Formats: sequence, C-alpha cells, structure tokens
Amino acid sequence: MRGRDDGGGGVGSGRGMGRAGFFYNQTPFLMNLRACLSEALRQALFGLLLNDRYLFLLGCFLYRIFINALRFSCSIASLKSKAQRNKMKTAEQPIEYRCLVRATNGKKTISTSVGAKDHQRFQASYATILKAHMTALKKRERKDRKKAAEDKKEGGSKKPKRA
Amino acid sequence: MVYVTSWDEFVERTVQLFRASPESTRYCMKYRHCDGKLVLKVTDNKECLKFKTDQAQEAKKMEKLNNIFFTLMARGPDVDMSEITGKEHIEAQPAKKGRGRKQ
Repeated sequence: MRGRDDGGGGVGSGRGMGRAGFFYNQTPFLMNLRACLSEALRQALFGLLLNDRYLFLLGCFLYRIFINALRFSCSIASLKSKAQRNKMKTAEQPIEYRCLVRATNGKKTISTSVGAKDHQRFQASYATILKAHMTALKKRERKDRKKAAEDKKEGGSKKPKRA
Repeated sequence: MVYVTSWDEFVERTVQLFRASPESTRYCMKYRHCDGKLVLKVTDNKECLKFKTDQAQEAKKMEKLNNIFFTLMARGPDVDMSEITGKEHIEAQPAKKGRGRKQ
C-alpha cells in the first residue's frame, strides 16, 4: 500500500499528515480486496481516490488551517472517450455519468469520482466536513439573534436554536 | 466579474447554465480562511456566475447547491429537479446527526 502511495504522482501522499498518517495508512486494510484493486487501478489511470479516502484527506486539508485558500470544483464526466460516447448515443444505451470532484490547497490536489449510486452518501459527508471546518465565516450578530429569539417565543412554543 | 446578489436567482441561473451545456459546465468553490469568505462559482467557459458570502448561515445554502450539482452531475442532466429538492429534506437530518457524532 505504501509503495503505491508514494508512487501516486503526488496525489494525496500521506506525508506531513502528522498523527493522521497512521489512520491514513491503515484505511486500505479496512476495505475489501475488490475496492483496493479498483482503487489502485483508478489511481493508476486517473489519479482518482476512493470516495472515503478523498473525504478523509479533505479533512486533513481543512484541519491544517494555516493554508490560505482552498478550491473545490466538480464537473461532469462519463469516463469514456467521445467516440465511445457517440457510439453509445447512436445505440441508445444509457450513458453512465460520473461526477469528478477535486480539492486543492495550492500544493496538493486530491480528486475522486462520484457515481449515481453513492452521490447522496458522499454529499452528506462532504457537507458535514466542509461545514465543520469553515469556522471563519461570520455567525449571525447577537442583536439579530436576540430579536429572532423573541419573535420565535412570541410566535411559537419552539425554543430558539443556538448556533 | 459581477457577483449575483440574490441566492434564488443564482441557483436558477446556474441550473439553467448546466442544463444548456452539461459537459463544459463546472462548479467551483473557493474558501479563504483568513478572510472568512466563501465564493461559489459556476461557469461554462463563456458565462460565469459567482456568489460571494461571509455568513455562516449561507453554508447551508452552499450544501443545497452542492446537493443539486452532485445529483445533476452524477445522474446526468435530465434528472427531475423536484426529486432532488424532495431528497434534500430527508438528507438534511442524518447529516446533522453525523456532525455531532464525528466531532
């Protein structure tokens, strides 16, 4: 596993992750063999990470807050060449779309592809990680919150949620 | 580049943009921690739509847009939009629960 990580073309290398590196190196053993194989294949072909691994590394990126900016992007792809796609179109076969998701902190880039089956699960954990780490965003001002709380008390029996 | 100020308008226009040219449209997010700013951008290399925010509440909106785009991109551009918005409510609850457990 480690040998592959080092030869991964700089895609999410485990170095410099500190304590997290332990878990990082252990994760492949938790997956089944088929997943490992397909991941190895995918990494070799596209430099893509398995979804869980991507999310984990994203957490590592975000954890090291001193980095200035993070860029995320996603775009559509079918992992097939244009000629193949056209063939499939003429044969009226359904094209399987995949969503390419990338993240970079300026030095390292990690990427994964999300299929139709697991996009919901991925989205949920992606959003959780992002929201947990975007702590620099301003919270609502106190005056507004108090006002909102008062309005809620007057209007309904629900207790005001605290952020 | 001019930022779109209204969130609803932004969502509507980005989805239209994606439907018009699904293969060349990409959705980018930029987060700058020291400024506390989050910029969402959707572009098809001809037209570019941006939305900027520094409010923590808007992170929820970002999550919604993420959901829309993941669904559109993973399932293809012909997916029914009502299906996506319906799933959002179901998904929102487990996401919150998971947040508490993980940290």
